[in-house]
Amino acid sequence: MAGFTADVLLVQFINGLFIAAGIYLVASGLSLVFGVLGVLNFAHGSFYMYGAFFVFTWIGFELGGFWPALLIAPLAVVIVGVATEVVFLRPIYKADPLYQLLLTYGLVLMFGDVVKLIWGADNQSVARPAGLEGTFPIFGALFPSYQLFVLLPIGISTILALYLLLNHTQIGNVVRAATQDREMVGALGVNVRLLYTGVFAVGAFLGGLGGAVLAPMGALYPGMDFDVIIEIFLVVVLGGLGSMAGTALGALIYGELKSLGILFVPDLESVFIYVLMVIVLLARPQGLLGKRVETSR
Amino acid sequence: MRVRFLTRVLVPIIALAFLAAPSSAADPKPIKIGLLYSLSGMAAVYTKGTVIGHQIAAEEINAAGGLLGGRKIEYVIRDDKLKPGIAVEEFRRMVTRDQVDFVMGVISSGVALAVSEVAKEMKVLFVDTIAQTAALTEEQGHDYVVRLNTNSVILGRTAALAAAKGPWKSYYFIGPDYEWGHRVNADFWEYLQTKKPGVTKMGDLWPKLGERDFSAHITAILNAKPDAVFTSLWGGDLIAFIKQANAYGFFDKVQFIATGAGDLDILEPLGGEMPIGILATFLYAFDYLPIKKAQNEKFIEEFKERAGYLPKSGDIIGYVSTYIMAEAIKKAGTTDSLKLGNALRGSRYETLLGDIMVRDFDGQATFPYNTGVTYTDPKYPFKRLKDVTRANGEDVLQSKEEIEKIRANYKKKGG
Amino acid sequence: MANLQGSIGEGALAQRRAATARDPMIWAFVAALVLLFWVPELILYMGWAKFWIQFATQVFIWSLFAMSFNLLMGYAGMISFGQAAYLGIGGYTAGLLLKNIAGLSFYLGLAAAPLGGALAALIIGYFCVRRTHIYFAILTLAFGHIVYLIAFKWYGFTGGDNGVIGIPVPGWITEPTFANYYKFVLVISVAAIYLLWRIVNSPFGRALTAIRENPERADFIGIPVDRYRLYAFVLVGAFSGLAGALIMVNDRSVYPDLAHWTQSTQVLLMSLLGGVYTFFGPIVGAVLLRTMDADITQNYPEIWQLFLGGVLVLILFGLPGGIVGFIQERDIGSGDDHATRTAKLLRLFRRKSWMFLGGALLFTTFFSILQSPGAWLLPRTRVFEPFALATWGIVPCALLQLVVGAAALWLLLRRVDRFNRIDGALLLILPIAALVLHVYLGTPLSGLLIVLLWVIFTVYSLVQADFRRAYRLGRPPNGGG
Repeated sequence: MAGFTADVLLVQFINGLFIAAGIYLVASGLSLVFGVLGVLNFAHGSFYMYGAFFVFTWIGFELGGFWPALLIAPLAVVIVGVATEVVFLRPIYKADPLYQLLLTYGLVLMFGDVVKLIWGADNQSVARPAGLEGTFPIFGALFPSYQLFVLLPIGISTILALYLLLNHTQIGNVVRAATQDREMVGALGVNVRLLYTGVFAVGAFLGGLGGAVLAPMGALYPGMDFDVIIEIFLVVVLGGLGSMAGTALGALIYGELKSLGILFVPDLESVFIYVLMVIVLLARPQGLLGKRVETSR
Repeated sequence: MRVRFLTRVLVPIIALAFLAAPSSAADPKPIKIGLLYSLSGMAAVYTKGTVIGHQIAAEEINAAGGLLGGRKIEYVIRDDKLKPGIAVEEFRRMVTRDQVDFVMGVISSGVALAVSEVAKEMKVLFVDTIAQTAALTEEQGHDYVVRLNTNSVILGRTAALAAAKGPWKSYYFIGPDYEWGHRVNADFWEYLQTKKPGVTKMGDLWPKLGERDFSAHITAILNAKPDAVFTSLWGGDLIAFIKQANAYGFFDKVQFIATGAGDLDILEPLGGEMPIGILATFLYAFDYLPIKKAQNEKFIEEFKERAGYLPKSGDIIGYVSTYIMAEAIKKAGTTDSLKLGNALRGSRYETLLGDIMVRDFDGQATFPYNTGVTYTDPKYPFKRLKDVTRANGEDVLQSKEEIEKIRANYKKKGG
Repeated sequence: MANLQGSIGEGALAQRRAATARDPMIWAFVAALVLLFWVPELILYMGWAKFWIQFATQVFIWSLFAMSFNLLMGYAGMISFGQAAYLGIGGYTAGLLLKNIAGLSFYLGLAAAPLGGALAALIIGYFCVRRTHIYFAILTLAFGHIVYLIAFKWYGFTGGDNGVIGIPVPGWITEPTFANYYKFVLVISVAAIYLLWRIVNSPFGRALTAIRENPERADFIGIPVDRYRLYAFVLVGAFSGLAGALIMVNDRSVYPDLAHWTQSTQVLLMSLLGGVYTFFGPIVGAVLLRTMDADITQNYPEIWQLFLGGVLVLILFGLPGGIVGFIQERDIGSGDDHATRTAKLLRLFRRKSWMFLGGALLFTTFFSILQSPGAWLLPRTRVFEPFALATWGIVPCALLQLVVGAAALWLLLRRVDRFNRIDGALLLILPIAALVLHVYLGTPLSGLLIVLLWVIFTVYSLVQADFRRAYRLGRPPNGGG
């Protein structure tokens, strides 16, 4: 299957960036929450789903259409997220992390059925905002305007915003310290409860934002949470649990592998990423950019 | 808990004592039909309406006096959770506990094959109504399985007939990565080659079920510059693909041929985003009616009242298949599985979907399948289909000899 | 150093071996086997549906799977999220062998399943056991998903997503009452569970518990931590493979779904529901979950996940030790004198009774609301039906129950330290009321479960020596013990 011209590869490369931006938006919240709280949040996929469905509902209200929904839907998800954290997670932070994992799995089941009760089981769809339905040419190749002018910029600015927030602000210092040593941060007089709730809220916001931004690109249905959760797990584990840079790298690899892999071995596209993950995990169990993990001894 | 005794438990006991008074007239034993569908999870969106379709038909039949001398149809409805293991367990339960006469249902092909195996062993008729894998009636066929729906062969070949009339020479394929998707694409391609020699295949893509992002697939296809693209994607996957492909100007560059895309569950959510000029196939559209207009309108009205939306292909199948079973029961004069199966096979039925036949050698119904081209009808908020042509199931399905050959080959391979 | 400590471990091992050789539990297992062996005859004699034989078969298979999983989760503290992979591998090993090799003995094919499960667990476990906690969970999840994908995609070998259909089984299994297969499964499960019992009570089992509690210390006293963890993983892989093969025979087919990660969460839930740190807990979990599958989820397919998720969350909060853990819970220090022990027991009994009342009330209210969703607070219909639940509104009804129930329970519990026979009998008989209620609500199985759990709980409390003494003597003697 050789003989691809350079511009084909370039087009697929840019497409890979779109895929990466989309998956990064959703996965970053999961990674952030794991880094600080140590909770691998199964329900993150539900936040993504709620973000998408809130956009759908908002557009139904006809109060300004899609653009305000990009902010309002994630904020609505933040409310759900904070309620989840305060009611369910907060009482069991002291328990084994695996109990938290199981708890969030229970929440996934509940959130999923609630979506069915509210929005029904049908496929729903959100139209692209006016003016961005078409394509935009770059170097003679056509790209979708929405991905180019909404998805990619939001993805990149999320990376930047998280980087600046974590590395160049006081709060960021505390958060980063908390990823290193939670007890120590508490001992230093930081309000850990508030910190956890805040970080969880940011995580939920990112999940909701991911759902909102991706909503016009696909169908909305109960079960989209399960479809996305395995993908974002892959990305986060590949990049390194709790490492924000790792998540970005994982997303980039995921997007490009998918995009370029199709050109070379189309039959195996759905297995690629798993093969890569196994190779990475065998060589570097902590993921590409993750910190050293504890072993059994 | 013990205390409930004092409040609510004594009351119900007394109530039960009153309510348990014998009912007035002893009705003849009902005909019990098991309905096995995925009522929870992802597939619920399709099966809910199917069950309503079944119920409407049963009520009409019961109101008209029932079957076999006044026996009423009664359903036992169970959820298979899209899992073959649960489906097998529920099938056995319906037979041994609820004493159903036969079982209709299932949406997933994998579930259908597993259930069919148990039906064969328990010697209870299994009537497949939604799952469309051809394997069920071809190589895995037996006396106790019948399908009252189209199968993947009808789907693929009907689309191929329509495609053969077009000018397109080179094809690209994309389908969901599981057996049914592979099968429909293969059926389309094999048949197209016989109907239109000289067509070429430029490639296949197999995104996984539940794929979110098709950008890479879309550009890979556009890059190959085929004349036409055939797909067996369905449901949310097809919606996502069409939406994303739209943004690449995909539909201006290639002719898109999609199975099942003419059904409301695709057209309605996509609304204005569905491009025009797509070659789409479908089983049923609410106002496209060759026959039995009055009955269809009555069904649509009744269905809309209960479900809140217009009936889709899967919904009317529930209705139509119940009527077919009723006729077969009348003809067999019994609900005995083997006799009922034999009566069912080899007979013709006039249904809302057309004049069909259940073939005697494989139990496959010959439903006609339609092809149309999408266009904008200002009366509706979604796209409709024009230039609709029908292909009869009899004409596209394999002959008896071919089926026997398939079965022999399968046996040889150790099946 | 490791050698030296290893030899100390060996010495202790020999001692323990002598102790466990006379294990009285074997008689309990034999008794259970003999009693349960005649269940199909009972069901057929009573004219109940044959389905229950099939149902019981499934319960035993899942019990075996859940109990072996609990060896990993409860005893070794290794929570695997990909355990269904070995279920699948066992099913596929036996299934493919029986399907593809004509004339292969059925038993030989079945025997290959645990070997296949163990082999896969050895390979995967080699990479996983060094990781702990969340990393172990994720790695097992990832590997489990790969096993699923292989089964799903490799058409030439595994039959792809349709699986292997129509696997030949001997004629005595397909016999229409399911009784033969029930007995076959029963014997295998009971034998396997007895084996598990011996394992967890062997020095090896104790070493696993030591590793769970504190890996560093376990390492220090000479337990080869990684190796033991791998052994446990392989053992459990073998048992899971066996369970997978039994499921395969039950369905006559095997499909990728068996290896899907949501099946892994099912078995996790069984362990958790029954009690992670108890040996027999997972059986209770398996019975409960399978019953819910057969009863509740079938009546309310739209919301069974909501229910399941709710149960999971409630257990994590209310019953972290699971149901059996809850029943067995005791808080008695070895230094307590008789009076303290009795007082503690009575306190515990009171507390448990209250929790039971609360739980049962919640459960019934939930289903009442499901039964008539329009009647939370106000009657649904204008027609006055004095005996219909919907007439009075469910929430007011529940509140009334709560008040009356709490008052009655308070009265009963006030007398708990000078029980007479009538009180004891009442405690056991009254749950029948719950059964009647559930029959009325259309969920008889759930009602039966409440009764069963209550009886176990009460009997278990009553047979404890301290409790019985308190019960006989009227009030705790001063300065006894």
